[in-house]
Amino acid sequence: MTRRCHSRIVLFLCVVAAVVSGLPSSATAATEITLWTMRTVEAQMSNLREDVAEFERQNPGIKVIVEAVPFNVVYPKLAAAIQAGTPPNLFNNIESMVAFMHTKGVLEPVDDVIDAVGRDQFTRKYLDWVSAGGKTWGIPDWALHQAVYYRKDLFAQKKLNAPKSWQELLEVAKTLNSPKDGIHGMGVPLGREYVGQQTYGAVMYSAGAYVYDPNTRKYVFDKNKDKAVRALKFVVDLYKAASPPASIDWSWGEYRTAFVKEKVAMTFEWGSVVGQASNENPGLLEKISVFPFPGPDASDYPAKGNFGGAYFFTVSKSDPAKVEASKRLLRFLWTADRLAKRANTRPVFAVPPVKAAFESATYQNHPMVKRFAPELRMIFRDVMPYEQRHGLEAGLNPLAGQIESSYVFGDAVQNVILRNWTPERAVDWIDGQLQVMRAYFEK
Amino acid sequence: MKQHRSRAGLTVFRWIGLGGLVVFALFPCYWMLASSLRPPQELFTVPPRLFPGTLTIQWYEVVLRTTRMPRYFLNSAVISGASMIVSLVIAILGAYSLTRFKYPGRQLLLLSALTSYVLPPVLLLLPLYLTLGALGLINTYAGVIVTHVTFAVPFCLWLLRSFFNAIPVDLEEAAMVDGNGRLGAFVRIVLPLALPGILSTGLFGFILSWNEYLFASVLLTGEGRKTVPIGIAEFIVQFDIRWGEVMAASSLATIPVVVLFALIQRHFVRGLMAGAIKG
Amino acid sequence: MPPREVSWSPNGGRLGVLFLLPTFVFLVSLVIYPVAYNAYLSLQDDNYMLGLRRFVGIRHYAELLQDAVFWRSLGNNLVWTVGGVGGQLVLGLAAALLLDVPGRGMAVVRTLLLLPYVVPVIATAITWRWMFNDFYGILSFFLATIGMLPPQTSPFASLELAMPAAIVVGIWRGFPFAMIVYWAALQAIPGEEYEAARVDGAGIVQEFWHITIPHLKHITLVLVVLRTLWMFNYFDLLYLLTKGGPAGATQHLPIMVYITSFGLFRFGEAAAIAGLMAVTAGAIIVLYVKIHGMREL
Repeated sequence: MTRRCHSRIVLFLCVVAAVVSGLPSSATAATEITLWTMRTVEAQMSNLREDVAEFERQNPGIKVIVEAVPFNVVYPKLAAAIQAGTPPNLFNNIESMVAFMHTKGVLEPVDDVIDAVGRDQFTRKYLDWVSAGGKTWGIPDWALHQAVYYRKDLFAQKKLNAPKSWQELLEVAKTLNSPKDGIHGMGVPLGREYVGQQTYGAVMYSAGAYVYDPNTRKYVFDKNKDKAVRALKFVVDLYKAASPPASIDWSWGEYRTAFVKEKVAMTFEWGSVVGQASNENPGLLEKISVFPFPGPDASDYPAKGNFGGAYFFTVSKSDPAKVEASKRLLRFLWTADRLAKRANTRPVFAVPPVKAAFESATYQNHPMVKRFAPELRMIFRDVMPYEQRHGLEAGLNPLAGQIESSYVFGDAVQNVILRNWTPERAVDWIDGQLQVMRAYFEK
Repeated sequence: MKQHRSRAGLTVFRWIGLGGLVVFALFPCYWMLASSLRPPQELFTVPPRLFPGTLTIQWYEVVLRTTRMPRYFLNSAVISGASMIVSLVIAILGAYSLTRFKYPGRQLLLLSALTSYVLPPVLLLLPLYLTLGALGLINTYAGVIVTHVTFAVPFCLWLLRSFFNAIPVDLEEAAMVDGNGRLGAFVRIVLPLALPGILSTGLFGFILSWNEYLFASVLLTGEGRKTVPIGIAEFIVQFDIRWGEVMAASSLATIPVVVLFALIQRHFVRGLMAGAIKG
Repeated sequence: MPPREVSWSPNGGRLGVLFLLPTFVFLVSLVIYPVAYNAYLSLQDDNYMLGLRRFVGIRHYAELLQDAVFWRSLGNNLVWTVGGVGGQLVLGLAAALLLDVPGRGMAVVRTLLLLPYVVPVIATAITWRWMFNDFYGILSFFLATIGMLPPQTSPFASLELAMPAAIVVGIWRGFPFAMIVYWAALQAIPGEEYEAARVDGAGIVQEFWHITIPHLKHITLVLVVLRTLWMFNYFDLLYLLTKGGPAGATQHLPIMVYITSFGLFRFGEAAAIAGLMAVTAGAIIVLYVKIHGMREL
């Protein structure tokens, strides 16, 4: 060939090379998904952001926008977003919000992710709460628990054992109750916003008074009234016998601080006192232990029902790329190691609801977890599997969030104590309120 | 003689009254500030202790170094500053119109300006969100500013109207006779005399926007534009209140407004009227 | 008293309306629609969870007017509003008068007295709750020491004391608004009126009664209207303080609206409560204006 021919071929090849290298890669533009979380405290946010950053590194086609949503605007914000057609792709929320979103029809089932982790790895109860129509609509992330945190040193002093029935609990509370010495027997917090119903709920479920029957899935509160009345009477008796009077208005901060500052010998609690004590009264840590809330009779110990809670992740309906990206992030986050780390941003309060994560070295080696290892094992074994939550006993139910946000159960207790309602009247009133809510959903 | 005694009595009475008022107004603020400087073990003591035993700046460090609060302060400053200015401009125009011109339906217009306050804000939320969404204003400074202006303009209008009312019309007429236009009369006569009123109204417009929480938190997503009240709320999760951080952040949140007020106080001087009439 | 206004040039009307236009652009586009929408909703049985909406006419209104909880909440709302507004105005005026003295020191005091109005509401509510706490509350402790409260209790746990305690917080929070507005209004009172009165031998009380008060009548009316509307609808402070407890003793209508809308998701019912609220607030304002014989607002 002539030299000119050569140079033309070379020129042609250069042009082709330039064009080919300038073409966009075969991957499309990044998929962007939004993640809202209700856990807004910095320790939890930075843990989440770290995991998300790592995920983005491993998945360059996906971009995750994380947003903290303070819990006191969560309903208005979510309602507005749903109305506008833009719910978050992923939402780290609590059980009643899962119910809310499911009722609004904006969720994707997450059975595939759960099965990928291993369904039998999860504490079954949390999956049951968020099931409906044979599918699971949320994946449990943090397990919470409510039990009785107590002063084992004071118990030892008076030679008391962990009570195994309501009557025993009442007696222990009375024995430890000595306001003149600056300590009350038991904190019975009854604040209107959620706390009152959590306290009453603990007693109700220990007596088997359900709102919905877990087996038949039918509304049964009206058939359980005698149990609910008995439970209500017991709450009031306990309050009057051994709790500081102002506890009728106590919220989480108040009762925890009361325990940490040694003003009460026992309290209904979710495990947060451990963190608070380590900051405010470290000497108390070696004096604390936990027992599950007992049932009415000693024969039924530990009770097969208590009031609990959990944090979940949900995936919203969206275009397939985003749903797939969301689920991929969930699979990434649901390794034993990451679950353990997440739970340990709030040790003892948050427990991983997945066996492998609970037993992992990452979880168990945290100093606080080590310290309370026997208690946490007891909680994992005896408390978590039997948790209940108003309206969720039989799976997702539109009433779940409403029951809690309308303060029905808490108001009933306060009315008995302050307005001299009889427990029977209070329970009838609760039933009346629930029936009005039900009438919209169940014909 | 009589005057002197009564003035002295007034002074004593004044100092006692002011003292009581200052204690009443400031004690909770002191408590808040003290809490923001107390280490964790001292936050709740029985019996309560008036003065902190040891001081710590750890809460301020957490707020300023580990969270996004500094950015939130910037966002709040932009939003509140703009809300204040826009509200003032609109309300000044409206108040001037209501006090200097006569046309039918003025009273009705004035009353209807209060419709912003007729509903509890929580019920305005969803329809407003949809309207703003249709305008593409979700998650923008403009959307929040527009909302805040909507809440600020009615009371600015009412207040400014009252302040403008107190200025005699003959002053402006005299100025117009002297060759100033209506605008000149407005700028040279009305504005200076109404300045204390305008500045206080503006201050309240700023405060309303600075502290507004509900709409800001629903309209703003993503961390780039969030405001200070949202930042404070983030320290409070359902089961957990970060005391020290909330108190520290709240103490910091009061500073810009305090500075603003300190700056504008120089322009509150009685006697401008006297000067104007004589001069 | 200076003359109020005079009708000027023939163009006055049109220019006036033009100046008022921006106000109404905002109002119509952003407020009228939600208000009208809520009025419409109040006639529907609207359940947000279900996406249900069914016309029921005035049923919500009828049911509310027979609901004891509604009447109790309305009563609480009136107590909260009247107590709060009255206290704020009285304290605000007193403060303005005390501060009406030139000087650098006074400027500092004025700035300090503004603080209650500036502190973020959430911090206010938390701080006051803690000051009234039964164990570590410095105020409960103090009140118990002087015998006004049983030891180791909190007013917020008592049916009788919860609302008064809340009103104190409401007055604390709102008085700087009245204080600053009154103080600005005081600046507009011509100094010579006081001088002339003093020359005539008037004492302090007479100066106050015959000069100060008449000048403040109009701004007081404005303050009453604004603060009444504001306090009547004010949700945040009371909810954060007491959540409406104990046993509904401090539940006022805005809290009832909140629970009905974002607790029970029955927006129709919530809109009806708001409708009744608007009527009540309007009635209060009209009543006040009539009593003071103000021909013109």
